[in-house]
Amino acid sequence: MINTQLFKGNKIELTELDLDKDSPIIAEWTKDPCTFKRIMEGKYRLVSTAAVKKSLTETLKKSDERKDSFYFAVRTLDEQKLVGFARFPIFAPMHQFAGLRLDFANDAALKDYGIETLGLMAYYGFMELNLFRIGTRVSACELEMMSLYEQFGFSKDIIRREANFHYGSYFDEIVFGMNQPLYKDLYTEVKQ
Amino acid sequence: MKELLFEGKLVRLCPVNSEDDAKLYAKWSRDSEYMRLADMDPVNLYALPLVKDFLDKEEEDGCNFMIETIADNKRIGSIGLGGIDWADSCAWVGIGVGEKEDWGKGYGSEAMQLILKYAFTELNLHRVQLTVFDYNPRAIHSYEKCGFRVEGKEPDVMLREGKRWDVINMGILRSEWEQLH
Repeated sequence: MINTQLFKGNKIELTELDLDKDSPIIAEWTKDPCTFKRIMEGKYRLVSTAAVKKSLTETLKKSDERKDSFYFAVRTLDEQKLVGFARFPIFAPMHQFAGLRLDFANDAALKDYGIETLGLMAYYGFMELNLFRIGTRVSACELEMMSLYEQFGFSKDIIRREANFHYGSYFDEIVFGMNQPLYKDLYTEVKQ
Repeated sequence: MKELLFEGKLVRLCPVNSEDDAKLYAKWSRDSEYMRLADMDPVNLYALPLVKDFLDKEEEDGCNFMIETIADNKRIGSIGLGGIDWADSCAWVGIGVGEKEDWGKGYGSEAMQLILKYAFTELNLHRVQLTVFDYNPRAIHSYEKCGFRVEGKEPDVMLREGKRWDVINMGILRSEWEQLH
């Protein structure tokens, strides 16, 4: 009997996106250039709710047709407030690899819900998608996001020097990763 | 101050002619050793019209070239800049020499030098990057010769022939390229 609830944490849960309600909130988040880059395509700019909704609708449609990506809203358990957007937009089953992207409403939400969100996504990735490796990339200007991955146990595997340009300066892009054996060492005894 | 930007001593870069070059791509695709050096995606074979469509789309999206030998005007491979992010001034580069008899003759290294010159002196890019598999030391050596530096690896990310392999990331900044030239 498998009775694990994959999508439910203590403070948050992963749910499907509600495009009507979530798009204006996510549009607000894209004012941050790094968040914009992860969610939208093209050059950094201010985008309307309609543009975000259109982009998310197309993304989810493509995902459903190809079955090659997984998208979740992160909501608080008590108020069902949208506090994050978690997804595996890249999924390569041949190699048991997926690329993870996380975004949060702000640094406070990242601090409050980041570890739990990452825990749910890692469990889903390793225990449901049967991944061997989860990878992600973060601009070095995103100190809180880098710290989240490090705190969870991801290793800093690649430093792409001066690969991101934000706020008038070049920043390194850090590729973080975690392989399944390490994840099992660190977490499965606690979970099961 | 005029110079032939796409002309080296051994090879030149030429525009992709999808009608003719699709046949070369299809031929090279049948060599799975070659294809497994080029991509993490599963090796597959594609009908000519699909290859032609792919090349036409690549032409629209990126800066892609065929590599042609100067000695005998033979098309031996391809090279291109893709995923160009103009805000970051950064691009990915991919290269493949499909004709095995032309491996190890310095053609790929010179083609890479030509496209780096194009990237840094014409497109005004700040950085060019690539990935290479750890089972391809010949390519890693060639990229290092061109000035690329290893920036890390994704350990065990690729599964092929029942074994796990690392994918190595390499990059070169314009300032580094300028110091070399």
